[in-house]
Order: sequence, then C-alpha cells, then structure tokens
Amino acid sequence: MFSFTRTLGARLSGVTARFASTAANAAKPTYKAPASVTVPTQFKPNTKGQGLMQLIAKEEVKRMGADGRSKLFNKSHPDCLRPGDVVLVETLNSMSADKTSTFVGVLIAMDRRGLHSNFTVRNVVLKVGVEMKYMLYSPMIKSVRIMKRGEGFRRAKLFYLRDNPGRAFRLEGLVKQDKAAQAKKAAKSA
Amino acid sequence: DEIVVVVNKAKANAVATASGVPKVKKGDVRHALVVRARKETLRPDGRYVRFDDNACVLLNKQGEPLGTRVLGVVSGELRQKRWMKLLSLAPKVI
Repeated sequence: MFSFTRTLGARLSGVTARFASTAANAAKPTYKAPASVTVPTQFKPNTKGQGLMQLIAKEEVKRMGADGRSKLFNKSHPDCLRPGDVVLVETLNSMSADKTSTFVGVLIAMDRRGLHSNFTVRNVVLKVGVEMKYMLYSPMIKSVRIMKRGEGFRRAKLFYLRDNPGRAFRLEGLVKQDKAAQAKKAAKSA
Repeated sequence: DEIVVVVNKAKANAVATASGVPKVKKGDVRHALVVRARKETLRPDGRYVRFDDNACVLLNKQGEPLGTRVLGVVSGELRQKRWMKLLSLAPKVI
C-alpha cells in the first residue's frame, strides 16, 4: 500500500526530480501549495464505519445547516415545519446582490432526503395555482418563516388541495398582517 | 419557449385593428410564447416552479406580443432581454 505520510509537495518534487535530466525540465518549477491551502499528510479520512459519500453528505448538511435551517425538518424540534403550515420563503435573487423575492403559501409536501431535502409550497396567485419546490439547503434561501400553523391536516402530502382547496389559500389577510408586523418591527428597531 | 398555435376560440370583442376588424380570429395559426406551464421547470438554484395551467401569449410576425396587456401570473423563465417588455406588462412574475 502507498504510504501517505510524505507531504504532497515532497512527493511531487520527488517525481519531478526524476525528469530533471534535461535543462528544460530542470527549470520546471516544483509545486508548492499556497499558504491558504492546507495539504493533509494523511489522505485517508476517518469514515467512522459509513461510506465516503455518506460522510461527505453529512458534512455538507452540517455545513449548510449551520444557520439553523435543519431544525425546520427536525420532527423533535418545536419549530419544525408541518404540512399545512403557511410559510413565507425569502429567496436571494442572486448570490452577489441583496435583493430578495418572497413567496407565501401552504406547505403541501416535505421530503427528507439529506442534503437534497426539499419542500413544496402552494399558493393561488391571481386565480392561478402556483407551486414552488425549494431545496432546504440551498444557499439562495435567505429565510423560511412560519406565518401560521396548519390545523386539521391529517396527511403528510397535501396534494388533494390542488383539487379541493377549500379555504386553504385565503392568505391575503395573513400577508397583510405579516407586512404590518414587519413594518412595526423595523420601525421599533430603527 | 416559442410555439406555433392555432386559435380555437377567439372572443368577438378582443384585439381589433383601427378599422374594427379583429386581429385574431378562430382558426388563425400564430406564434406564441409559453408563459405558464403545468410541467415543473427547473431554476438554476434547484427550485422548481409549476403552474396549474398552460398559458401562452400570442406574438406577431416580429416576435413581439400582439396584445397590450397580459393577464395573470407569468413565469420568471422569461427574464431574458427579449421578453422584458412582456415582463413589464405582466401583473405578477413568479
């Protein structure tokens, strides 16, 4: 088995040394990692009894969920999302600018898929039903706020609301309330 | 996406030229631009958008919208230079 104890730089310089016979090759620079890059001496990660891809996925979930969005999908957390909640999702329009778009709607589906966890939000806008499926761990999602808890929804997936909406999508009042509350908050903190 | 459509139903009092002849009659074959689709479309950041119906906007030969108003929601896929006029006409872009 290869020994991984020598540094990357040392190994590369060893390789280039073999080809340093000609003058042209001797002038070739050996690779030296910049200070910002930490070159590990030990390349075998500690997978702790799981596969490498599982480990990478878990690390990514931990990294992307550092702002606390994992709790939205954690059933044992009181702030967990539930199907039927009225949810406001704020999305960044681009990673460089601060402008956001908002979408309010009823949460009709949640899929727990690790890093690919997603949820579907449905609303009726100008008499047209619109559904948006968001990736929970997407960096474009700025915030997910629960505007109202759903009551009386006894299913995990509320696709029946597409045909039988009932009063589920009367959300203008909620949006107005929320806007007023936000304005008040901004005025208070200002 | 631009498609070719045939007009199945045309309102009698809809788009009319100066002389009063309707611009769009039943049976016309025209180009149109899809603004809403029932099939979910993928956005670059992994979001999906799906509307409850399929809708399109009729275009003239130059590829500009035929009418002066757009009713209903319009998909954000149209955020291209070519369709900025249409976007500005739309009451809501999602």
